[in-house]
Amino acid sequence: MKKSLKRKPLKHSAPTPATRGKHSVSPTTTTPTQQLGKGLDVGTAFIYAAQKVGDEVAFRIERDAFMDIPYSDHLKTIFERDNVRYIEKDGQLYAIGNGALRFANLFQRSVRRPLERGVMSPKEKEALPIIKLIVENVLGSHRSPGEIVYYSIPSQPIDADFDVLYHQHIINGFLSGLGYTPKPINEGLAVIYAELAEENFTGLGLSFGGGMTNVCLANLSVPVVTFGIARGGDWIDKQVARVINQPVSAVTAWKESNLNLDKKEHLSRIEEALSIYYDILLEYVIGHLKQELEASAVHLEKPLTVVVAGGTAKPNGFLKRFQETLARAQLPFEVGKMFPAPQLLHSVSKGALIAAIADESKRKS
Amino acid sequence: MTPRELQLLNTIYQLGGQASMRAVGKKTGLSLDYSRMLSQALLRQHLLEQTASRLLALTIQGRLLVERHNKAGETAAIGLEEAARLVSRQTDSLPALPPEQSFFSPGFIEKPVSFVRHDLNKNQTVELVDARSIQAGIDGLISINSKRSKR
Repeated sequence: MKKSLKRKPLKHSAPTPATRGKHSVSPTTTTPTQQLGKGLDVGTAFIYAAQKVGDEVAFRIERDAFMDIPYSDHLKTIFERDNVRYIEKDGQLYAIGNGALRFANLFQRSVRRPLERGVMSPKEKEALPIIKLIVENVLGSHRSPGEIVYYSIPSQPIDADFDVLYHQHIINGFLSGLGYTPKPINEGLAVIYAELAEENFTGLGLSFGGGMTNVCLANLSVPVVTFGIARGGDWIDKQVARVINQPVSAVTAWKESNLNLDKKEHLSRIEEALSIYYDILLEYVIGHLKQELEASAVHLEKPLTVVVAGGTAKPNGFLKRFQETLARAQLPFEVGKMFPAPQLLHSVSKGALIAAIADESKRKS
Repeated sequence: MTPRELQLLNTIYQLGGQASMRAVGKKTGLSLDYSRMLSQALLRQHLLEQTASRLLALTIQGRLLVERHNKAGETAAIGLEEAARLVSRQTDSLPALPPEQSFFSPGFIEKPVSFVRHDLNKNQTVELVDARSIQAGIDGLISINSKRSKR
C-alpha cells in the first residue's frame, strides 16, 4: 500500500562550498537496507532526484527557473524571511525555483529558464552554472564512489532542428565531476520502467513535460520506437500568454494551481485559451504518434498498454481528452489499458532510480 | 547602399559583430525608428541577420563589406560616400568567401559564469514515498536483464 506524499524539512547532505567534505557520516557508508543507485530527471520545468533511503524513496525537487534582481540588503532579508532560495553574484541576486516564480509574478516579469525545449537553453549564459548548482543540490553526495546515477535525456525531436547531444554530455560531465557513474536513460523509457512492471515493461509511455513531449514504445524493456516532440507545457503557456496578453509566468502559475480541463461552461479567458491550446497540443502529439507507429511497422501480439506521465498531464480532465483524441486518431494498434502514472511528476525520476538500482545490483553480482 | 546603412553596419562591427537595436541606435545617435528602417533594408540585402535573441548580427558578406570599407578608408582617406560606392563595386565581384576563423563575437569567447555564494541546500522540497512502489519494477528489471544476459 502506498504511503501518501508528505513533505518533510530537509535533512540532506547536498554539498555546498562550506559543507563539502564535512559530512558527519562517511559518504561511502551504506546501511543494510540502503540500495545504491540514484535517479535524476533533468526536466525543463523541474529537476527531480530520487534515491532509496530505507523503506522510502526520497524525491528532492527544484523548479528549473531563476530570476535576477539587483542586490540589496533589504531584498536579501526578504528572501531569507520568505524562504526564497537564492544565489549571490556580482551585485545580483538570483532567486531560484518556486521563489523565482513568485517574485516574477510580483514584478510582472517572466522567470528565466536554464532549460528550453528539454535541453540547455542557448539563450541563457547562466544556464550551465545554474543547472550545475541545482543538480548538485538535489542529488547530494554519492554514497559510494562511482555510485550509478541514471539521468533522463529527451529523445531526438522529430519536429525541430536541434539535437540533445550537447545537453547529454554537459549533464554527464557534471555528474562525473561529482564522483558518480552517470548513465543516460530515455525519458519515455523511464516512464515505462516506473509504471509498466506488471506488463513486463511492454507498452507505450508518454511523458508530457514542460519543454517537450517524449514518447517511447518498448517491448520487454527494450525501446522499439522513441521520439520527442518539441512542444509541451511551456509551449501552451507561451501561446496563451500571447493571446491573453499576460506574462508567461502568470499563466504558468495559474495553470498549475487552477486548471480543470473537465470544466466546459462559464470559462474565463485564460481557461478558454488553455483549453484550446491543450487540444491543439494533443492533436499534434497524437498525429505524430500515429505517423511514427505506422512508419515503424511494429507488430504487437496484444492490445497496447498506454501510460501517461509528466506535469503537463496534471490538470483534471487531461486523460479524458487524451483518450478522446487517441480514439479519433485510430492508431495502427488496438489500445488496451490506459492510465495516468500515480505520481505524474515523479515518474521519470522513479524510472531512472529503478534502472540505477537494477544496474547496481548487476554490478554487485 | 547608403552612407547611413554603411554607418549602421560599421557600428555593429565595432560592437563585436552583433548588437541590439537599442545599442545601435544609442551608438549612432539615430532614432530607434530610423535604425529599425535601416536594419530592415540591410536584412533584405543579407548583410545583416537576426539572431534567435533578436540581436542584429553581421553576415559574412556584411562583415566583409565593412572590412573592405575600413581598409579603403585607411588607405585612400576617401569620404564615406565614396567608400560606400567603392565597397559596393568591390563586393559585386567578390571571390569565394574564406573560412570563418578570425571573427568572433564577444559572447563567443566569454568565460562561463560561476556561482560561489548560495543557500540552495536550505528548505529544499523533499517528498517521501513508500519504497514498495518501486520494488516490483526493480525485481522485474533485474529478472529481464539476467534472462537477457544468459541468452
